[in-house]
Amino acid sequence: MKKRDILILVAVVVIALAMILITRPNLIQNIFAPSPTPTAAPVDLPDDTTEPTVSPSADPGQEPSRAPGEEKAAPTLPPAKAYMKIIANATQYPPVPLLMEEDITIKRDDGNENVIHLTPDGFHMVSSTCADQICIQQGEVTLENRDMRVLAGFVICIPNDLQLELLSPEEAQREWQRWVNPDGE
Amino acid sequence: MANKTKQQQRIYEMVLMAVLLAVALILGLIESMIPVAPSIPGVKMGLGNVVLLFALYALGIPQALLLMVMKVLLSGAIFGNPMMIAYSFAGGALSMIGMILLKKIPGVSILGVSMVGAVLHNVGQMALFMIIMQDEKLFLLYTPVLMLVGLITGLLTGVAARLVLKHMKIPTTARK
Repeated sequence: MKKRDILILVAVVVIALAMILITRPNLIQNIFAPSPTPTAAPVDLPDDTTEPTVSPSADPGQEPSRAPGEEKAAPTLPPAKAYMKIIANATQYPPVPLLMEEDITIKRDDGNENVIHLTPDGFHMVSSTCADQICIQQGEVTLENRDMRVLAGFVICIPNDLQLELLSPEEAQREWQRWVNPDGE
Repeated sequence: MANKTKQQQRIYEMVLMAVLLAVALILGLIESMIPVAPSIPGVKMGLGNVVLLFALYALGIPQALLLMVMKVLLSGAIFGNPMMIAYSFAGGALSMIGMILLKKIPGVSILGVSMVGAVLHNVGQMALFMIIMQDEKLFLLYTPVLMLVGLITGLLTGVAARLVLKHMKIPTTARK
């Protein structure tokens, strides 16, 4: 191992650490003084207990069917502690509020499917038809553990072309604006 | 007599390239059967880089490039699908270019070249992912992790390649 090699090694480590710290703002806080994030205002849980399925052929321009109020004026994002953003088959969908504990199934046209368990705090992959099952090993993502995970707020299943991202209310609101107001960015 | 030696040399080199290609493919198969990192997608040991490094240092730049292209095409044809070929090629091409350039810098040993090769391979694959998916968020979040992993795997494959180069002497056509 020569001097220039060590120089290269240090350079790559510095760049990598810089990228990690920039994209995970809470990581430093959580390492030195882990503290629970302040809980959001209590949410009224609807007593709808059906298991909705999200099919990738759904029109991405529509609002999620559980959003209350379809007025033309300005559809609002239902309040929740956390939201899930789905990107399936390279198609983005509006953020989904995590209001209650349930399992949803996302099916692909070729028969593969992923089952995700949602809770008001976050979600994790329960089962998948993919070959490597890495998506299940990624475990649960919550707003608290998001910056400590390798994939941060994401749970992804590459073989089934599925990306799920956990969003905080502020991030979800920003994302929502892009759907409601696509031209007025 | 000189022509015959040259012809023998070329035949030898062709056979050696074929053997190296076969070894690279087998190594790719073996490393896909050993789970390296449980919850981190896309992490491979990169054993194929040992073969590419050997070719780069013992045979030369054109041979190493050819080996990389053949390995990508064949392993994609045998084990994978067109998408995998695209990603392998993105990673392999960036990695190979980086290794070729870095090798020219005096004072950089095979370990440094190997580390940069592994890191660039991962970065290249993630870059293609970002371009295809139009999503820079996952790239920014995940690439640094892959870079750090690449340093480790690059170090190990560099050590292995150095050992092979030391103990396997072949008549070489590479320029120093």
